[in-house]
Amino acid sequence: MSLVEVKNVSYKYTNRENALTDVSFNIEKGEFVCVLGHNGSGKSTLAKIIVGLLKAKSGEVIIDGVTLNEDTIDSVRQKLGIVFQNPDNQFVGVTVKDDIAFGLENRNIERSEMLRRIEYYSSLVDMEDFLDKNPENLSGGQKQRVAIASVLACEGEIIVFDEATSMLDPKGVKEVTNAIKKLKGQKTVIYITHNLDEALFCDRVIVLSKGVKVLDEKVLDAFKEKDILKSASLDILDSMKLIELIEEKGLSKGKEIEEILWQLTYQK
Amino acid sequence: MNDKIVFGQYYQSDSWLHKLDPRVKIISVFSLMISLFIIKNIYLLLGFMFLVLLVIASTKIPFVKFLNSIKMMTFVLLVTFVLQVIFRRDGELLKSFEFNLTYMNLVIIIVSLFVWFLINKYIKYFKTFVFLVIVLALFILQYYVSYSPLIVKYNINIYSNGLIMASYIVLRIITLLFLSSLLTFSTKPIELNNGLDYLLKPLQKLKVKTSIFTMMVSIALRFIPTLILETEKVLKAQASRGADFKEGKLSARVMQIVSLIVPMFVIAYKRAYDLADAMEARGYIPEGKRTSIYELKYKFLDYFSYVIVFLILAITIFLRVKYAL
Ligand SMILES: Nc1ncnc2c1ncn2[C@@H]1O[C@H](COP(=O)(O)OP(=O)(O)OP(=O)(O)O)[C@@H](O)[C@H]1O
Ligand SMILES: [Mg+2]
Repeated sequence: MSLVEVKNVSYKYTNRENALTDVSFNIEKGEFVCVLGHNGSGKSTLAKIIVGLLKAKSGEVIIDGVTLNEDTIDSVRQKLGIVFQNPDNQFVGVTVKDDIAFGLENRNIERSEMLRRIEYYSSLVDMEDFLDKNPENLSGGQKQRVAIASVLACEGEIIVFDEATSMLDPKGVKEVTNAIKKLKGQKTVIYITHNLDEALFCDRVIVLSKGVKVLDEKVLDAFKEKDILKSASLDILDSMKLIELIEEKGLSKGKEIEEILWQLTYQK
Repeated sequence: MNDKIVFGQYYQSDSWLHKLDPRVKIISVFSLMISLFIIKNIYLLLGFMFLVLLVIASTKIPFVKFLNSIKMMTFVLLVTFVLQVIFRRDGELLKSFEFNLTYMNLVIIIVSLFVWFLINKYIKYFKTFVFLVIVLALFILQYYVSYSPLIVKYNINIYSNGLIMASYIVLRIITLLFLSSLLTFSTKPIELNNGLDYLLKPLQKLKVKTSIFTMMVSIALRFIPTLILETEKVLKAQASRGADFKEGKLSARVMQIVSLIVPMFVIAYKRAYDLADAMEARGYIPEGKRTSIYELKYKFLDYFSYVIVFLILAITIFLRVKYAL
Protein backbone atom coordinates (compact mmCIF):
# COMPACT_ATOMS: atom_id res chain seq x y z
CA MET A 1 0.00 0.00 0.00
CA SER A 2 1.36 3.38 -0.97
CA LEU A 3 1.07 6.46 1.22
CA VAL A 4 -0.70 8.44 -1.50
CA GLU A 5 -2.81 6.74 -4.13
CA VAL A 6 -4.43 8.81 -6.86
CA LYS A 7 -6.83 6.62 -8.83
CA ASN A 8 -8.39 7.70 -12.14
CA VAL A 9 -9.04 11.21 -10.93
CA SER A 10 -10.90 13.61 -13.21
CA TYR A 11 -12.02 17.14 -12.46
CA LYS A 12 -13.98 19.77 -14.31
CA TYR A 13 -14.75 23.35 -13.32
CA THR A 14 -18.19 24.57 -14.36
CA ASN A 15 -18.56 25.28 -18.09
CA ARG A 16 -15.05 24.26 -19.03
CA GLU A 17 -13.24 21.35 -20.48
CA ASN A 18 -11.71 18.87 -18.07
CA ALA A 19 -9.01 20.39 -15.88
CA LEU A 20 -7.86 16.84 -15.07
CA THR A 21 -8.57 13.68 -17.00
CA ASP A 22 -8.10 10.20 -15.58
CA VAL A 23 -4.92 10.87 -13.62
CA SER A 24 -3.45 7.97 -11.63
CA PHE A 25 -0.22 7.48 -9.69
CA ASN A 26 1.09 6.24 -6.37
CA ILE A 27 3.57 7.92 -4.06
CA GLU A 28 5.54 5.96 -1.50
CA LYS A 29 6.41 7.16 1.96
CA GLY A 30 9.50 9.39 1.92
CA GLU A 31 9.41 10.02 -1.83
CA PHE A 32 10.15 13.45 -3.25
CA VAL A 33 7.97 13.80 -6.34
CA CYS A 34 7.95 16.70 -8.77
CA VAL A 35 4.77 17.49 -10.66
CA LEU A 36 5.69 19.45 -13.78
CA GLY A 37 3.33 21.21 -16.11
CA HIS A 38 2.78 24.32 -18.16
CA ASN A 39 0.34 27.08 -17.07
CA GLY A 40 -3.19 25.76 -16.87
CA SER A 41 -2.13 22.12 -17.10
CA GLY A 42 -4.07 21.27 -13.96
CA LYS A 43 -1.31 21.20 -11.34
CA SER A 44 -3.09 23.33 -8.76
CA THR A 45 -6.31 21.45 -9.33
CA LEU A 46 -4.48 18.19 -8.64
CA ALA A 47 -2.87 19.65 -5.51
CA LYS A 48 -6.23 20.81 -4.17
CA ILE A 49 -7.76 17.41 -4.82
CA ILE A 50 -4.93 15.63 -3.01
CA VAL A 51 -5.28 17.82 0.10
CA GLY A 52 -9.07 17.57 0.00
CA LEU A 53 -9.90 21.18 -0.90
CA LEU A 54 -11.66 20.01 -4.06
CA LYS A 55 -13.54 16.79 -4.52
CA ALA A 56 -12.71 14.75 -7.62
CA LYS A 57 -15.63 14.47 -10.06
CA SER A 58 -14.67 10.86 -10.59
CA GLY A 59 -11.94 8.60 -9.26
CA GLU A 60 -10.57 8.67 -5.72
CA VAL A 61 -7.65 9.73 -3.56
CA ILE A 62 -6.48 7.37 -0.85
CA ILE A 63 -4.17 8.69 1.85
CA ASP A 64 -2.52 6.08 4.05
CA GLY A 65 -5.29 3.62 3.28
CA VAL A 66 -8.18 6.04 3.89
CA THR A 67 -10.29 7.27 0.98
CA LEU A 68 -10.85 11.04 1.06
CA ASN A 69 -14.46 12.10 1.46
CA GLU A 70 -16.51 14.47 3.61
CA ASP A 71 -16.46 12.14 6.59
CA THR A 72 -12.77 11.30 6.55
CA ILE A 73 -11.29 14.64 5.50
CA ASP A 74 -11.08 16.22 8.96
CA SER A 75 -9.00 13.37 10.32
CA VAL A 76 -6.94 12.73 7.17
CA ARG A 77 -6.05 16.41 7.05
CA GLN A 78 -3.77 15.85 10.05
CA LYS A 79 -1.42 14.06 7.66
CA LEU A 80 -1.53 16.67 4.90
CA GLY A 81 -0.06 20.10 4.50
CA ILE A 82 0.13 22.48 1.55
CA VAL A 83 2.13 25.59 0.78
CA PHE A 84 0.55 27.77 -1.89
CA GLN A 85 2.00 30.11 -4.46
CA ASN A 86 1.02 33.52 -3.11
CA PRO A 87 2.94 34.41 0.06
CA ASP A 88 0.38 36.98 1.21
CA ASN A 89 -2.78 35.01 0.72
CA GLN A 90 -1.85 32.16 3.02
CA PHE A 91 -0.57 34.22 5.92
CA VAL A 92 -3.45 33.95 8.38
CA GLY A 93 -1.94 35.29 11.58
CA VAL A 94 -1.26 38.90 12.48
CA THR A 95 2.32 37.95 13.41
CA VAL A 96 4.68 35.12 12.42
CA LYS A 97 4.04 33.43 15.74
CA ASP A 98 0.26 33.66 15.30
CA ASP A 99 0.52 32.25 11.83
CA ILE A 100 2.48 29.18 12.88
CA ALA A 101 0.08 28.75 15.79
CA PHE A 102 -3.02 28.89 13.59
CA GLY A 103 -2.91 25.25 12.42
CA LEU A 104 -1.99 24.10 15.91
CA GLU A 105 -4.90 25.96 17.47
CA ASN A 106 -7.20 24.24 15.00
CA ARG A 107 -5.82 20.89 16.07
CA ASN A 108 -6.47 21.70 19.73
CA ILE A 109 -2.84 21.40 20.70
CA GLU A 110 -1.90 22.59 24.16
CA ARG A 111 -0.24 25.94 24.56
CA SER A 112 3.06 24.67 25.97
CA GLU A 113 3.39 22.25 23.07
CA MET A 114 2.51 25.04 20.60
CA LEU A 115 5.26 27.22 21.99
CA ARG A 116 7.75 24.37 21.73
CA ARG A 117 6.84 23.63 18.12
CA ILE A 118 6.84 27.31 17.16
CA GLU A 119 10.34 27.69 18.50
CA TYR A 120 11.58 24.48 16.88
CA TYR A 121 10.06 24.88 13.43
CA SER A 122 10.71 28.60 13.12
CA SER A 123 14.40 27.96 13.68
CA LEU A 124 14.30 25.12 11.17
CA VAL A 125 13.42 27.68 8.46
CA ASP A 126 15.63 30.39 10.02
CA MET A 127 12.73 32.62 11.04
CA GLU A 128 13.19 32.42 14.80
CA ASP A 129 14.15 36.08 15.05
CA PHE A 130 10.98 37.27 13.34
CA LEU A 131 8.32 35.71 15.55
CA ASP A 132 6.71 39.02 16.51
CA LYS A 133 6.91 40.61 13.07
CA ASN A 134 3.84 41.40 10.96
CA PRO A 135 3.60 40.07 7.42
CA GLU A 136 3.84 43.61 5.98
CA ASN A 137 7.37 43.78 7.27
CA LEU A 138 8.53 40.48 5.76
CA SER A 139 9.87 39.70 2.30
CA GLY A 140 8.10 37.19 0.07
CA GLY A 141 10.75 34.56 0.76
CA GLN A 142 10.39 35.07 4.49
CA LYS A 143 6.63 34.75 4.28
CA GLN A 144 6.95 31.50 2.33
CA ARG A 145 9.36 30.14 4.94
CA VAL A 146 6.79 30.99 7.60
CA ALA A 147 4.21 29.10 5.53
CA ILE A 148 6.58 26.11 5.49
CA ALA A 149 7.09 26.32 9.24
CA SER A 150 3.32 26.52 9.72
CA VAL A 151 2.83 23.33 7.74
CA LEU A 152 5.75 21.53 9.39
CA ALA A 153 4.51 22.48 12.85
CA CYS A 154 1.39 20.43 12.20
CA GLU A 155 3.71 17.43 11.79
CA GLY A 156 1.82 15.80 8.91
CA GLU A 157 3.63 13.26 6.75
CA ILE A 158 2.77 14.64 3.35
CA ILE A 159 3.54 18.14 2.17
CA VAL A 160 2.46 19.64 -1.13
CA PHE A 161 4.23 22.70 -2.52
CA ASP A 162 2.18 24.39 -5.24
CA GLU A 163 4.66 26.64 -7.09
CA ALA A 164 5.79 27.90 -3.71
CA THR A 165 8.69 29.85 -5.21
CA SER A 166 7.18 31.23 -8.40
CA MET A 167 6.32 34.66 -6.98
CA LEU A 168 9.68 35.24 -5.31
CA ASP A 169 12.83 37.08 -6.31
CA PRO A 170 15.99 34.97 -6.88
CA LYS A 171 17.12 35.44 -3.29
CA GLY A 172 13.75 34.35 -1.96
CA VAL A 173 13.73 31.33 -4.29
CA LYS A 174 17.07 30.25 -2.91
CA GLU A 175 16.01 30.66 0.74
CA VAL A 176 12.82 28.73 0.21
CA THR A 177 14.32 25.90 -1.85
CA ASN A 178 17.00 25.48 0.79
CA ALA A 179 14.33 25.08 3.43
CA ILE A 180 12.48 22.58 1.24
CA LYS A 181 15.60 20.55 0.49
CA LYS A 182 16.02 19.97 4.23
CA LEU A 183 12.83 17.90 4.13
CA LYS A 184 14.38 15.25 1.92
CA GLY A 185 14.12 11.89 3.63
CA GLN A 186 11.99 13.38 6.45
CA LYS A 187 8.70 13.96 4.67
CA THR A 188 6.82 12.80 1.64
CA VAL A 189 6.86 15.78 -0.70
CA ILE A 190 4.85 16.64 -3.79
CA TYR A 191 6.67 19.54 -5.37
CA ILE A 192 4.69 21.34 -8.06
CA THR A 193 6.47 23.60 -10.52
CA HIS A 194 6.61 24.65 -14.16
CA ASN A 195 10.34 25.02 -13.97
CA LEU A 196 12.39 22.06 -15.11
CA ASP A 197 15.44 23.17 -13.12
CA GLU A 198 13.58 22.63 -9.89
CA ALA A 199 12.79 19.03 -10.80
CA LEU A 200 16.48 18.26 -10.40
CA PHE A 201 16.37 17.88 -6.64
CA CYS A 202 13.38 15.52 -6.73
CA ASP A 203 13.41 11.72 -6.99
CA ARG A 204 10.70 11.34 -9.55
CA VAL A 205 8.91 13.49 -12.12
CA ILE A 206 5.25 13.43 -13.13
CA VAL A 207 4.41 15.62 -16.12
CA LEU A 208 0.92 16.96 -16.73
CA SER A 209 -0.20 18.36 -20.04
CA LYS A 210 -3.73 19.71 -20.50
CA GLY A 211 -4.89 17.75 -17.48
CA VAL A 212 -3.46 14.43 -18.62
CA LYS A 213 -0.48 12.64 -17.09
CA VAL A 214 1.99 12.25 -19.94
CA LEU A 215 5.11 11.13 -18.09
CA ASP A 216 5.99 9.47 -14.80
CA GLU A 217 9.67 8.56 -14.47
CA LYS A 218 12.67 8.68 -12.17
CA VAL A 219 14.20 12.11 -12.54
CA LEU A 220 17.18 11.23 -14.74
CA ASP A 221 15.09 9.09 -17.06
CA ALA A 222 12.51 11.84 -17.30
CA PHE A 223 15.06 14.29 -18.69
CA LYS A 224 15.75 11.91 -21.55
CA GLU A 225 12.15 12.21 -22.75
CA LYS A 226 12.79 15.49 -24.50
CA ASP A 227 9.95 15.13 -26.94
CA ILE A 228 7.37 14.59 -24.24
CA LEU A 229 8.72 17.51 -22.22
CA LYS A 230 8.62 19.74 -25.27
CA SER A 231 5.14 18.67 -26.23
CA ALA A 232 4.04 19.59 -22.71
CA SER A 233 5.38 23.09 -23.53
CA LEU A 234 8.10 22.88 -20.92
CA ASP A 235 11.33 24.76 -21.41
CA ILE A 236 13.99 22.10 -21.45
CA LEU A 237 17.23 22.83 -19.65
CA ASP A 238 20.10 24.63 -21.38
CA SER A 239 22.38 21.72 -20.71
CA MET A 240 19.91 19.44 -22.46
CA LYS A 241 19.71 21.79 -25.43
CA LEU A 242 23.46 21.77 -25.58
CA ILE A 243 23.65 17.99 -25.59
CA GLU A 244 20.95 17.93 -28.24
CA LEU A 245 22.90 20.31 -30.47
CA ILE A 246 26.16 18.50 -29.96
CA GLU A 247 24.51 15.25 -30.99
CA GLU A 248 22.76 16.87 -33.93
CA LYS A 249 25.81 18.61 -35.37
CA GLY A 250 28.37 16.07 -34.33
CA LEU A 251 30.51 18.80 -32.86
CA SER A 252 33.78 17.93 -31.29
CA LYS A 253 35.90 21.02 -30.89
CA GLY A 254 35.77 23.29 -27.85
CA LYS A 255 35.46 26.43 -29.97
CA GLU A 256 32.30 25.31 -31.73
CA ILE A 257 30.72 24.28 -28.44
CA GLU A 258 31.54 27.68 -27.01
CA GLU A 259 29.82 29.35 -29.91
CA ILE A 260 26.68 27.31 -29.38
CA LEU A 261 26.76 28.21 -25.69
CA TRP A 262 26.87 31.90 -26.59
CA GLN A 263 23.95 31.46 -28.93
CA LEU A 264 21.92 29.78 -26.23
CA THR A 265 22.61 32.54 -23.70
CA TYR A 266 21.79 35.10 -26.33
CA GLN A 267 18.45 33.47 -27.11
CA LYS A 268 17.52 33.65 -23.46
CA MET B 1 9.73 46.79 3.04
CA ASN B 2 7.14 49.29 4.04
CA ASP B 3 6.86 49.75 7.75
CA LYS B 4 5.08 53.07 7.71
CA ILE B 5 1.72 51.45 7.96
CA VAL B 6 0.81 51.08 11.58
CA PHE B 7 -2.75 50.00 11.83
CA GLY B 8 -4.79 51.33 14.69
CA GLN B 9 -3.57 53.86 17.20
CA TYR B 10 -1.39 51.60 19.30
CA TYR B 11 1.55 53.33 20.94
CA GLN B 12 4.49 51.07 21.75
CA SER B 13 5.59 51.31 25.36
CA ASP B 14 6.13 49.11 28.39
CA SER B 15 3.95 50.95 30.90
CA TRP B 16 1.83 49.13 33.46
CA LEU B 17 -1.24 49.89 31.37
CA HIS B 18 0.27 48.13 28.37
CA LYS B 19 0.90 45.07 30.50
CA LEU B 20 -2.62 44.92 31.84
CA ASP B 21 -4.79 42.07 30.62
CA PRO B 22 -6.91 43.27 27.66
CA ARG B 23 -10.04 41.93 29.31
CA VAL B 24 -9.40 44.13 32.33
CA LYS B 25 -8.89 47.15 30.11
CA ILE B 26 -12.06 46.55 28.11
CA ILE B 27 -14.21 46.02 31.19
CA SER B 28 -12.58 48.90 33.06
CA VAL B 29 -13.08 51.40 30.28
CA PHE B 30 -16.65 50.25 29.94
CA SER B 31 -17.32 50.54 33.63
CA LEU B 32 -15.58 53.93 33.91
CA MET B 33 -17.71 55.22 31.07
CA ILE B 34 -20.79 54.20 32.99
CA SER B 35 -19.43 56.01 36.06
CA LEU B 36 -18.81 59.04 33.90
CA PHE B 37 -22.41 59.13 32.76
CA ILE B 38 -23.72 58.69 36.27
CA ILE B 39 -21.82 61.71 37.60
CA LYS B 40 -24.00 64.83 37.57
CA ASN B 41 -21.96 67.27 39.58
CA ILE B 42 -19.32 69.29 37.75
CA TYR B 43 -16.87 69.24 40.67
CA LEU B 44 -17.15 65.48 40.89
CA LEU B 45 -16.61 65.35 37.17
CA LEU B 46 -13.49 67.47 37.54
CA GLY B 47 -12.25 65.04 40.18
CA PHE B 48 -12.92 62.11 37.87
CA MET B 49 -11.14 63.86 35.04
CA PHE B 50 -8.20 64.49 37.33
CA LEU B 51 -7.98 60.74 38.01
CA VAL B 52 -8.02 60.00 34.30
CA LEU B 53 -5.26 62.56 33.76
CA LEU B 54 -3.24 60.88 36.51
CA VAL B 55 -3.56 57.55 34.69
CA ILE B 56 -2.54 59.20 31.43
CA ALA B 57 0.49 60.73 33.10
CA SER B 58 1.55 57.37 34.47
CA THR B 59 1.53 55.58 31.10
CA LYS B 60 4.43 57.23 29.22
CA ILE B 61 2.11 57.83 26.27
CA PRO B 62 2.74 61.43 25.14
CA PHE B 63 -0.11 63.73 26.11
CA VAL B 64 -0.05 65.23 22.62
CA LYS B 65 -1.50 61.99 21.30
CA PHE B 66 -4.50 62.42 23.56
CA LEU B 67 -4.88 66.04 22.50
CA ASN B 68 -4.80 64.89 18.90
CA SER B 69 -7.66 62.56 19.56
CA ILE B 70 -9.73 65.51 20.76
CA LYS B 71 -8.57 67.68 17.90
CA MET B 72 -10.87 65.97 15.46
CA MET B 73 -13.73 66.80 17.76
CA THR B 74 -12.87 70.47 18.42
CA PHE B 75 -15.54 71.76 16.10
CA VAL B 76 -18.28 69.61 17.59
CA LEU B 77 -17.12 70.46 21.10
CA LEU B 78 -17.14 74.18 20.38
CA VAL B 79 -20.53 74.13 18.75
CA THR B 80 -21.94 72.15 21.69
CA PHE B 81 -20.40 74.62 24.09
CA VAL B 82 -21.68 77.69 22.29
CA LEU B 83 -25.19 76.31 21.84
CA GLN B 84 -25.39 75.38 25.51
CA VAL B 85 -24.18 78.83 26.57
CA ILE B 86 -26.58 80.65 24.29
CA PHE B 87 -29.73 78.64 24.87
CA ARG B 88 -29.67 77.77 28.59
CA ARG B 89 -31.73 80.36 30.37
CA ASP B 90 -31.46 79.54 34.07
CA GLY B 91 -29.26 80.65 36.94
CA GLU B 92 -28.26 84.28 37.20
CA LEU B 93 -27.63 86.49 34.23
CA LEU B 94 -23.91 87.09 33.92
CA LYS B 95 -23.70 89.26 30.86
CA SER B 96 -25.80 90.39 27.96
CA PHE B 97 -24.43 91.31 24.55
CA GLU B 98 -26.36 93.42 22.09
CA PHE B 99 -25.74 92.84 18.38
CA ASN B 100 -26.84 94.98 15.46
CA LEU B 101 -27.49 93.25 12.19
CA THR B 102 -27.37 96.06 9.62
CA TYR B 103 -27.58 95.83 5.82
CA MET B 104 -23.91 96.67 5.62
CA ASN B 105 -23.04 93.94 8.12
CA LEU B 106 -25.23 91.42 6.35
CA VAL B 107 -23.40 92.07 3.08
CA ILE B 108 -20.04 91.70 4.82
CA ILE B 109 -21.16 88.42 6.43
CA ILE B 110 -22.38 86.95 3.16
CA VAL B 111 -19.28 88.02 1.27
CA SER B 112 -16.89 86.64 3.89
CA LEU B 113 -18.68 83.29 4.06
CA PHE B 114 -18.69 83.11 0.28
CA VAL B 115 -14.97 83.83 0.15
CA TRP B 116 -14.44 81.18 2.83
CA PHE B 117 -16.15 78.55 0.72
CA LEU B 118 -14.01 79.48 -2.24
CA ILE B 119 -10.68 79.45 -0.52
CA ASN B 120 -11.05 76.89 2.28
CA LYS B 121 -9.74 74.00 0.23
CA TYR B 122 -6.38 75.74 -0.09
CA ILE B 123 -5.94 76.05 3.64
CA LYS B 124 -3.89 73.15 4.90
CA TYR B 125 -3.52 73.72 8.62
CA PHE B 126 -5.79 74.97 11.40
CA LYS B 127 -8.77 75.08 9.09
CA THR B 128 -11.34 74.88 11.87
CA PHE B 129 -9.45 77.48 13.82
CA VAL B 130 -9.37 79.92 10.92
CA PHE B 131 -13.09 79.43 10.40
CA LEU B 132 -13.81 80.12 14.06
CA VAL B 133 -11.71 83.30 13.97
CA ILE B 134 -13.75 84.47 11.01
CA VAL B 135 -17.04 83.73 12.77
CA LEU B 136 -15.84 85.51 15.88
CA ALA B 137 -14.75 88.50 13.83
CA LEU B 138 -18.20 88.68 12.25
CA PHE B 139 -19.84 88.86 15.67
CA ILE B 140 -17.40 91.49 16.89
CA LEU B 141 -18.29 93.45 13.80
CA GLN B 142 -21.97 93.32 14.71
CA TYR B 143 -21.23 94.26 18.30
CA TYR B 144 -19.27 97.41 17.56
CA VAL B 145 -20.39 98.60 14.15
CA SER B 146 -23.91 99.86 13.73
CA TYR B 147 -23.88 102.35 10.82
CA SER B 148 -26.14 101.93 7.79
CA PRO B 149 -29.84 101.03 8.19
CA LEU B 150 -30.60 98.46 10.87
CA ILE B 151 -32.37 95.19 10.03
CA VAL B 152 -32.68 93.77 13.49
CA LYS B 153 -31.23 94.10 16.97
CA TYR B 154 -30.70 90.93 19.00
CA ASN B 155 -29.26 89.91 22.35
CA ILE B 156 -27.16 87.02 23.48
CA ASN B 157 -27.48 86.45 27.21
CA ILE B 158 -25.07 84.38 29.18
CA TYR B 159 -26.39 82.75 32.32
CA SER B 160 -24.37 81.07 35.04
CA ASN B 161 -26.02 77.67 34.62
CA GLY B 162 -25.55 77.79 30.87
CA LEU B 163 -21.85 78.23 31.40
CA ILE B 164 -21.67 75.42 33.95
CA MET B 165 -23.78 73.05 31.87
CA ALA B 166 -21.75 73.77 28.75
CA SER B 167 -18.47 73.11 30.58
CA TYR B 168 -19.94 69.97 32.11
CA ILE B 169 -20.94 68.52 28.74
CA VAL B 170 -17.69 69.41 27.02
CA LEU B 171 -15.60 68.05 29.89
CA ARG B 172 -17.60 64.87 29.85
CA ILE B 173 -17.01 64.32 26.13
CA ILE B 174 -13.31 65.06 26.55
CA THR B 175 -13.02 62.59 29.42
CA LEU B 176 -14.85 60.02 27.35
CA LEU B 177 -12.41 60.49 24.49
CA PHE B 178 -9.47 60.21 26.89
CA LEU B 179 -10.83 56.97 28.30
CA SER B 180 -11.32 55.31 24.95
CA SER B 181 -7.92 56.58 23.77
CA LEU B 182 -6.30 55.04 26.85
CA LEU B 183 -7.65 51.71 25.69
CA THR B 184 -6.68 51.99 22.03
CA PHE B 185 -3.26 53.54 22.66
CA SER B 186 -2.21 50.86 25.10
CA THR B 187 -3.72 47.77 23.46
CA LYS B 188 -2.93 46.28 20.07
CA PRO B 189 -6.04 45.62 17.97
CA ILE B 190 -5.30 41.91 18.01
CA GLU B 191 -5.03 41.93 21.81
CA LEU B 192 -8.36 43.72 22.02
CA ASN B 193 -9.81 41.05 19.81
CA ASN B 194 -8.39 38.27 21.96
CA GLY B 195 -9.77 39.94 25.05
CA LEU B 196 -13.17 40.14 23.39
CA ASP B 197 -12.86 36.51 22.36
CA TYR B 198 -12.52 35.52 26.01
CA LEU B 199 -15.15 37.92 27.27
CA LEU B 200 -17.75 36.82 24.74
CA LYS B 201 -17.18 33.12 25.34
CA PRO B 202 -20.12 32.74 27.76
CA LEU B 203 -22.40 33.80 24.88
CA GLN B 204 -21.44 30.61 23.04
CA LYS B 205 -23.60 28.72 25.53
CA LEU B 206 -26.52 30.62 24.01
CA LYS B 207 -25.42 29.40 20.57
CA VAL B 208 -24.09 32.80 19.51
CA LYS B 209 -21.13 32.25 17.17
CA THR B 210 -18.74 34.61 18.90
CA SER B 211 -15.62 32.70 17.82
CA ILE B 212 -16.51 33.18 14.18
CA PHE B 213 -16.99 36.86 14.82
CA THR B 214 -13.62 37.28 16.53
CA MET B 215 -11.92 35.20 13.83
CA MET B 216 -13.40 37.55 11.23
CA VAL B 217 -12.08 40.54 13.13
CA SER B 218 -8.62 39.04 13.38
CA ILE B 219 -8.57 38.23 9.66
CA ALA B 220 -9.67 41.79 8.94
CA LEU B 221 -6.89 43.11 11.17
CA ARG B 222 -4.44 40.92 9.32
CA PHE B 223 -5.53 42.07 5.86
CA ILE B 224 -6.29 45.76 6.25
CA PRO B 225 -2.61 46.79 6.06
CA THR B 226 -2.06 44.48 3.10
CA LEU B 227 -5.05 45.90 1.28
CA ILE B 228 -3.84 49.43 1.99
CA LEU B 229 -0.48 48.56 0.41
CA GLU B 230 -2.31 47.01 -2.50
CA THR B 231 -4.46 50.12 -2.95
CA GLU B 232 -1.35 52.27 -3.02
CA LYS B 233 0.09 50.06 -5.73
CA VAL B 234 -3.04 50.29 -7.86
CA LEU B 235 -3.14 54.06 -7.30
CA LYS B 236 0.45 54.40 -8.44
CA ALA B 237 -0.13 52.14 -11.42
CA GLN B 238 -3.08 54.25 -12.49
CA ALA B 239 -1.35 57.54 -11.79
CA SER B 240 1.47 56.36 -14.04
CA ARG B 241 -1.12 55.89 -16.77
CA GLY B 242 -2.27 59.43 -16.29
CA ALA B 243 -5.15 59.07 -13.85
CA ASP B 244 -5.55 62.04 -11.55
CA PHE B 245 -7.72 61.58 -8.52
CA LYS B 246 -7.62 65.16 -7.33
CA GLU B 247 -8.42 67.30 -10.34
CA GLY B 248 -10.85 67.20 -13.17
CA LYS B 249 -14.57 67.16 -13.60
CA LEU B 250 -16.77 65.25 -11.22
CA SER B 251 -17.72 62.65 -13.81
CA ALA B 252 -14.08 62.02 -14.68
CA ARG B 253 -13.23 61.67 -11.02
CA VAL B 254 -16.05 59.23 -10.44
CA MET B 255 -14.76 57.14 -13.35
CA GLN B 256 -11.31 57.16 -11.84
CA ILE B 257 -12.59 56.02 -8.48
CA VAL B 258 -14.49 53.22 -10.19
CA SER B 259 -11.28 52.27 -11.96
CA LEU B 260 -9.69 51.99 -8.52
CA ILE B 261 -12.52 50.09 -6.88
CA VAL B 262 -12.88 47.44 -9.55
CA PRO B 263 -9.31 46.09 -9.39
CA MET B 264 -9.32 46.37 -5.60
CA PHE B 265 -12.48 44.32 -5.47
CA VAL B 266 -11.03 41.66 -7.76
CA ILE B 267 -7.84 41.52 -5.70
CA ALA B 268 -9.73 41.24 -2.43
CA TYR B 269 -11.98 38.55 -3.84
CA LYS B 270 -9.08 36.45 -5.10
CA ARG B 271 -7.38 36.90 -1.76
CA ALA B 272 -10.43 35.81 0.19
CA TYR B 273 -10.74 32.74 -2.01
CA ASP B 274 -7.09 31.76 -1.51
CA LEU B 275 -7.25 32.51 2.17
CA ALA B 276 -10.29 30.30 2.65
CA ASP B 277 -8.33 27.46 1.02
CA ALA B 278 -5.28 28.12 3.20
CA MET B 279 -7.38 28.17 6.36
CA GLU B 280 -9.26 25.04 5.46
CA ALA B 281 -6.08 23.19 4.51
CA ARG B 282 -4.66 24.02 7.92
CA GLY B 283 -7.60 22.41 9.60
CA TYR B 284 -9.83 25.36 10.43
CA ILE B 285 -13.39 24.25 11.11
CA PRO B 286 -15.59 27.35 11.52
CA GLU B 287 -17.56 26.30 14.56
CA GLY B 288 -15.03 23.84 15.85
CA LYS B 289 -13.29 23.93 19.19
CA ARG B 290 -9.82 25.47 19.13
CA THR B 291 -7.12 26.16 21.63
CA SER B 292 -5.40 29.54 21.70
CA ILE B 293 -1.77 30.62 21.63
CA TYR B 294 -2.77 33.65 23.66
CA GLU B 295 -3.07 32.75 27.24
CA LEU B 296 -4.87 35.34 29.27
CA LYS B 297 -4.16 35.01 32.96
CA TYR B 298 -5.09 37.57 35.56
CA LYS B 299 -2.21 38.84 37.66
CA PHE B 300 -2.19 40.88 40.84
CA LEU B 301 -2.34 44.21 39.02
CA ASP B 302 -5.32 43.01 37.03
CA TYR B 303 -7.32 42.14 40.13
CA PHE B 304 -6.23 45.38 41.74
CA SER B 305 -7.47 47.39 38.74
CA TYR B 306 -10.81 45.61 38.82
CA VAL B 307 -11.19 46.51 42.50
CA ILE B 308 -10.37 50.18 41.93
CA VAL B 309 -12.61 50.50 38.92
CA PHE B 310 -15.59 48.84 40.56
CA LEU B 311 -15.01 50.92 43.68
CA ILE B 312 -15.23 54.05 41.55
CA LEU B 313 -18.43 52.77 39.97
CA ALA B 314 -19.91 51.98 43.39
CA ILE B 315 -18.98 55.40 44.78
CA THR B 316 -20.47 57.28 41.83
CA ILE B 317 -23.68 55.27 42.06
CA PHE B 318 -23.83 55.86 45.82
CA LEU B 319 -23.29 59.61 45.48
CA ARG B 320 -25.87 59.84 42.77
CA VAL B 321 -28.53 57.92 44.64
CA LYS B 322 -27.90 59.41 48.04
CA TYR B 323 -26.95 62.99 47.27
CA ALA B 324 -28.03 63.35 43.63
CA LEU B 325 -24.51 64.46 42.72
N1 LIG C 1 -11.67 28.36 -9.90
C1 LIG C 1 -11.68 28.02 -11.20
N2 LIG C 1 -12.81 28.14 -11.92
C2 LIG C 1 -12.85 27.80 -13.21
N3 LIG C 1 -11.80 27.33 -13.89
C3 LIG C 1 -10.65 27.17 -13.26
C4 LIG C 1 -10.51 27.52 -11.86
N4 LIG C 1 -9.25 27.28 -11.47
C5 LIG C 1 -8.61 26.81 -12.57
N5 LIG C 1 -9.43 26.72 -13.63
C6 LIG C 1 -9.07 26.24 -14.97
O1 LIG C 1 -8.67 24.89 -14.86
C7 LIG C 1 -7.52 24.64 -15.64
C8 LIG C 1 -6.40 24.11 -14.76
O2 LIG C 1 -6.06 25.10 -13.83
P1 LIG C 1 -4.94 24.93 -12.71
O3 LIG C 1 -5.03 26.13 -11.85
O4 LIG C 1 -5.09 23.61 -12.07
O5 LIG C 1 -3.62 24.97 -13.58
P2 LIG C 1 -2.11 25.12 -13.11
O6 LIG C 1 -1.36 24.04 -13.77
O7 LIG C 1 -2.04 25.19 -11.65
O8 LIG C 1 -1.69 26.49 -13.74
P3 LIG C 1 -0.73 27.62 -13.19
O9 LIG C 1 0.64 27.28 -13.63
O10 LIG C 1 -1.23 28.86 -13.88
O11 LIG C 1 -0.89 27.68 -11.73
C9 LIG C 1 -7.17 25.94 -16.31
O12 LIG C 1 -7.68 25.90 -17.63
C10 LIG C 1 -7.88 26.99 -15.50
O13 LIG C 1 -8.28 28.06 -16.32
MG1 LIG D 1 -1.37 26.66 -10.19
